[in-house]
Amino acid sequence: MSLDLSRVKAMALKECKHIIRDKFTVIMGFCLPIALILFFGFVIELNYDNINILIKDDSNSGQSREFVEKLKAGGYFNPVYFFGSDILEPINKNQSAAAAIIDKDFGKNIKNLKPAKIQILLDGSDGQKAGLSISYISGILEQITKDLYGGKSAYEIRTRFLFNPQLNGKWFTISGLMVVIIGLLSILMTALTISKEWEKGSMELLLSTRIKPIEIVLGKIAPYIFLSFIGALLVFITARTIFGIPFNGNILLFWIMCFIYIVSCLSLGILISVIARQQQLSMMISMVIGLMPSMLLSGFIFPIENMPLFFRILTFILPQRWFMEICRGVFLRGAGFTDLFLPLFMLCLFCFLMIIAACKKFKTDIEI
Amino acid sequence: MDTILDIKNLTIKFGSFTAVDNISFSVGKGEIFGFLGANGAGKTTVIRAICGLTNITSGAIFINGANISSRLSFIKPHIGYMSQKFTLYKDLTIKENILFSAALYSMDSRQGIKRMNELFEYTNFKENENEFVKNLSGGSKQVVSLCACLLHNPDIIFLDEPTAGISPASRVLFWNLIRKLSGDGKTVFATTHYMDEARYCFQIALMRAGKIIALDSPENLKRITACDNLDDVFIKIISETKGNYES
Repeated sequence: MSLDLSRVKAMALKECKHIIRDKFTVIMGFCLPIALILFFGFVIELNYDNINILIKDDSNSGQSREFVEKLKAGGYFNPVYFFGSDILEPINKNQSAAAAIIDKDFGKNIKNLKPAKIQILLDGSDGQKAGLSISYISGILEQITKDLYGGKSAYEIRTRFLFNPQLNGKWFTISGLMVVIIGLLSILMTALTISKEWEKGSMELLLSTRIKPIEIVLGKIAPYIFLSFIGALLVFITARTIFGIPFNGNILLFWIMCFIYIVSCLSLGILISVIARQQQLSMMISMVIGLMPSMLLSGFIFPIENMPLFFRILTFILPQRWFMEICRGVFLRGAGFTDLFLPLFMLCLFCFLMIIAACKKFKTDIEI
Repeated sequence: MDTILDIKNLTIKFGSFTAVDNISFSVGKGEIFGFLGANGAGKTTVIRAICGLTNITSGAIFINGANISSRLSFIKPHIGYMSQKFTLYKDLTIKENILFSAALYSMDSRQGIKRMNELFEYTNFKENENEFVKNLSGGSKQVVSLCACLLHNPDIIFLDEPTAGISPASRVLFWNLIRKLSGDGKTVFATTHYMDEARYCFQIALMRAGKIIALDSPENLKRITACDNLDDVFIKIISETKGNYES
């Protein structure tokens, strides 16, 4: 397959002129990534805090009030005293996610160094919130027990969280969001470009000339690499400045890998465009292919190792899965080339296969 | 006259639908060949097949003696194509469109500009080359499109409904250009559904439902059908063949 670079260059230049003169593409390239990272960055919160918890204090003792104070001080709970008869009613009405009923002998039992009782009621319809709540409460109770009883454990565990000492959920979500946003943007931008040529009828004219599918594909991708790169840079700056995400890795290595990821996603967009031949259909397919696997199968929110075998295997063909590993590795762990060789290799392979598939699937005949 | 285009028993099917049904004809070098018929008759499908844009079901197409099925890349530099649906990118200027077309035929910008100026002079085109195509009149757009498909100096030019949607005055000017090209040795293969334009052609083929129902020079067709003008010729031939297709 011989390649005429002058035709690739002509195609790329033409595409650049279309991009510059089309406000929608420029807005999509520059404003959308910032808007998305700001929106999702603030909206997606994997940690729970300020959970409403009802307190029915039958003990009404200094010890019970101290327990409530400690609940409040942790920042995870917002304790509200309950004086009614049916404590389940506010939980049923979704006004509160938890309730603590402090036994009337709570204070007395603590003074006498006897077991003191607190009943915790949790809204199990939100399993994640319920699980986290009980974990927080257990931690607080353990601390209270030690403080109030003055007891010491036989052993002491000193936990140190590496790479994210404060367990800041934003660091985790924002580095993942970068993968989702850059991928979605890249797929969307090229998904429309070839189907637009088919819809306008210009593809007919192009194919009557000497230009080859590979030259059209490369010429189409080239300007969008630059545009997507700018978008990625804006997302990176927003993540670092507004959300304060640390960057512990090699910056050059990161951008090289980002470049390969962008080309992979642009090639996927081109393949969608080549197959769909209609802008509306291309847009729909790219939204599904660009967004769903990024959110659900890339490891962004749900751990890949917990997925059923079929989906674990499916993630192997997703560039988002590999760049997610790269992004979190480089950003938070400061991973280097040798640590990320496999994801990098898989991204390169995906990129190569997508370009080949786009060229192979490029129909050069026109149906009615 | 040497033959430049030779079509033998061409059939094109899309699934169970036969768009072109076993047609054969030849076009001589320097001829203006008119391909006439109503919308949906199969004219565009034939042009697309000749330009290698549609797969043929059976038969063969030869340009300068070379079969397009096996030697398309050799043939492409010898053909120019102006499609019915799309001619130019509206958000690009005249010059940008022309230089893009030139680049597709591996011409550099210097060669492209030189050739553009020659063709603008040849077609007497006076618009500013930096004008955006969206601001041009229909007639001017068609002239620029014609120049774009002549950039690489093809032997045969395929024009699919080149005068559709433009003013009568522009149509006359455009056909004068076509005749000028023919006079300079270029072969022009044009489809149209305007019968009055057929008078400029050396040979015309009337198509209906994928078949050629008449193929001759305009004068001979008028003589055979005993009609004074080509509109009447077309109506008479169609009415004579109508029963065959309806049955």
